[in-house]
Amino acid sequence: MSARRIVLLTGVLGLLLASVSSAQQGVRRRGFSVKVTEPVNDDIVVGKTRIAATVSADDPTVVDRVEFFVNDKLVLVDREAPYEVLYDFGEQPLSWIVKAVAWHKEGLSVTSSIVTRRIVLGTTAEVNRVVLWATVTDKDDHPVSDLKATDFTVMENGRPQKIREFSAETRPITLAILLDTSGSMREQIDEVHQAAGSFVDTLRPEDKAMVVDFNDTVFLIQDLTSDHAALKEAITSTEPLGPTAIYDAMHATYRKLRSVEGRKAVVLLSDGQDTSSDTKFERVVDQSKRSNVLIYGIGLGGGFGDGPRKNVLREFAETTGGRAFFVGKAAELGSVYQQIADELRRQYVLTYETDIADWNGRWVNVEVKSSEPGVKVRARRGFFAVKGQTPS
Amino acid sequence: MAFRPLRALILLPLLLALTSAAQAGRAPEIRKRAFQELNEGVAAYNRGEYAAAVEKLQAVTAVALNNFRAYLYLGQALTAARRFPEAVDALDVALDLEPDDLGAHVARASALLGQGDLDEAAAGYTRALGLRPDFSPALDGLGRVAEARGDDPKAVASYEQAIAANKGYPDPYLHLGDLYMRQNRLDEAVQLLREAVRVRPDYGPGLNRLASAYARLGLYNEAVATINRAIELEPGVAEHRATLGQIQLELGLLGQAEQSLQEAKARDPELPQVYEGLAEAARRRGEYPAAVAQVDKALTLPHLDDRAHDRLIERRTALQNEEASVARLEQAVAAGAASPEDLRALAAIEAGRSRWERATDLQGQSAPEGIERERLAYYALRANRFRDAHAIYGALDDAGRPDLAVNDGIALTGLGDHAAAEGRFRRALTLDEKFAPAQLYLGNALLRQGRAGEAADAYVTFLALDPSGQRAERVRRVLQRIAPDKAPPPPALPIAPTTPPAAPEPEKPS
Repeated sequence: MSARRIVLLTGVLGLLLASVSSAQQGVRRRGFSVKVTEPVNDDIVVGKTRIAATVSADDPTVVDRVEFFVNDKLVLVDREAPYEVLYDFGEQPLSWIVKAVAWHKEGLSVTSSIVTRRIVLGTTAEVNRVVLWATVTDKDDHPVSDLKATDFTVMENGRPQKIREFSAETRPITLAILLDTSGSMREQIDEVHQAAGSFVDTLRPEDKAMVVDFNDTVFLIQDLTSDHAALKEAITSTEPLGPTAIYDAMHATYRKLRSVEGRKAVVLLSDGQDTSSDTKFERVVDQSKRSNVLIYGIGLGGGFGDGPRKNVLREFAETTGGRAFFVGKAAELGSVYQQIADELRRQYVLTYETDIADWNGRWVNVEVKSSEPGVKVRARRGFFAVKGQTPS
Repeated sequence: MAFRPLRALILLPLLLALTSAAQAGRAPEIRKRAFQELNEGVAAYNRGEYAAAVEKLQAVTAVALNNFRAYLYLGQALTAARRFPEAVDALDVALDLEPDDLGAHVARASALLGQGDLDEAAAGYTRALGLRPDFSPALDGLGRVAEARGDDPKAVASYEQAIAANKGYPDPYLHLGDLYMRQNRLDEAVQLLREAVRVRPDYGPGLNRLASAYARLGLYNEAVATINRAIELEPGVAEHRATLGQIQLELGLLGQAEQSLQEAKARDPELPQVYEGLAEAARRRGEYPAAVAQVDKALTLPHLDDRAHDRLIERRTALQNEEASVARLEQAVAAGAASPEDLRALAAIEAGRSRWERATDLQGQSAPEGIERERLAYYALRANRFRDAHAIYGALDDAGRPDLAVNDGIALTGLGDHAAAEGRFRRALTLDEKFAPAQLYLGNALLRQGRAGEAADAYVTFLALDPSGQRAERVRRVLQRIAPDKAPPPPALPIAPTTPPAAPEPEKPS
């Protein structure tokens, strides 16, 4: 056999061996994977937080080790399940790349990574101060405006809190007037214009409002102003067309209001179900929990019944301390807007200092009660424990 | 005409919208204007008119609160205008609207990279890769982060991954090409940049980088043609005009260079290379205070990165030192008190400003001997005073040095005596058969005598000796024309080669 043939045969044999080896590796690797299970993508992580990974393998004994990395820095080599490590991410919620590399005993490795979410915080002064706006109504749903601090109790995660400041709220309010201008509003749009326009007239000179017009797109028709004529002109210029994107409108309005200080409220009018939002309902509810904005929802038309459409507006309202109204005809809108105006003018502001020690991003329940018999108190239901993010 | 219900159904909403707009209440008018401005803003962005794009798109986002496209383009336009913090804000909103949009993740990470926030940029690119592990722009972005961290091997790996993931996406070719240019791997850089232009012939940044690479290789005709194409495609992009200005500077076209740089400045007054170019033009004119003033302007620009800042400080010091030297030397020359060393020092400065005639005169007055006489011959050659150069090289004889023989050959070429020149290049090769420039110039001399076949052989030998040097690309092009069967694969660049056989660059005296 010539030398050339030997070389050729060796080459073929080498290739064969390589493919056998590769096939064996494929068998051994089959089902071998790793996943970072805690935290998950876009989680907010602060302080000491558990990082965990699960490794899938047909035979658990083939797992040699799991290496945990945070931003490319090796933080732990774990050789035994459960694969986990407690890591201190510091006080600020930052973007961290958390990676787990699982090593097969035969030298193969698989990787999984997640990225946490950064929140840019402004000043952290007075981070413990929580401001709540409370609306109190009697059994006939009329606002009660003669209560004292001692008539109230604030509970945080079931523990009573000392009220530091209390007053009837007289400071200006910032309002977002959201008008559903989807095609289905066509029949009633004139009455809507009239009722919303009258609502503008209830604002005090120092109050400000903006007009947001939404169908499947969301447009700011009038930015924040105290000019009643401009607000009314914006309201009456809206024209019904297209489908309905309530959640998109709420989402965009929250963003618009984020930079506004002080007491804020959204007055949302819609005649129906969300049909075209990209934003999910849960996301907007989450946002309403995070922001200190009162939501007043007005459901117009007979189609609400007691079903999920009603619950959407109720959820927004109850989470934030606002209120949901449902009317059958546009002619009734005037009195609803008047009730909202009355409530906004007769609110109480209560401040307390939270005693939570663990700023871990979890939800903190807050409840405002009154000792006055027969009254009902509405206020936001809580906040997320992130430093600098308490409602104030 | 047949009635088409489907078409009527499609047209109805449009008709309604137009009717609404025609009635022109305030809300419909705001909506209509926003859509117009969005289209205008996107078009301005695509033309590279970033300031105009920002203005239009900000007007849109002020009213259209959930228009993802407006926020995405606004963020990208702000990034292009180096307004990085504002870009991040706009892209935060874009991602708020479309949390899984890969383009928005990458655009935001790029804005963060622009403002030097490397960790956040890496996190952003990684997020995009979490959504699609082979997303080329994100892999490319991680390469840029690695490069910014000084980790070239990791950067190269990321760029290569990005190219493998999507061969039709030009940016990783560009970034890898830039990296190779920085590492002086010019041939590889040009191949990559040409590939970038092949995959996206209308991509301005690709044409811009390729033009710069051509200029580095001395392929000025190609460089000018390529950058002009970029300008034609993106007339509003300041960088293209700045690159044209740089090329014109290298060609010694000071007036044109200044005009191009001023045009770049009018489009973007915050581009450091504009001021560096204007400083160089002023220096070449001997206007040192003006040159320093341009560097100072560059130093006050916002968004100046550390590398550029250090480079400018170094440049400023060099200009001030040179100004002081020139003042002293010119005074000595004017007073007739200049020593031979003064004359040579001033000649060297003039040569550095491409003022070859004066450099030759000053060097000639210094009664040069030895290496200084060689330098005089070199200056004369660069000043196209071929007879003077040949006289000196002839008198020096080649002293057994192939570089001197080559330069004498170049002088003879300048005098039109190609046969004599050929003799000198062959003489250089007898002194050192591996002296690549001699092969190149021999090829040129043969070609000029109409002996294309022999010339091709000389070029092939040259390419074997110096396959990736500064002149290799040009030689390949000539070979492609005169002997395609001997040439490497044809260049992929969609711009016709225009350069005649190499314009000779004399060997510098050591």
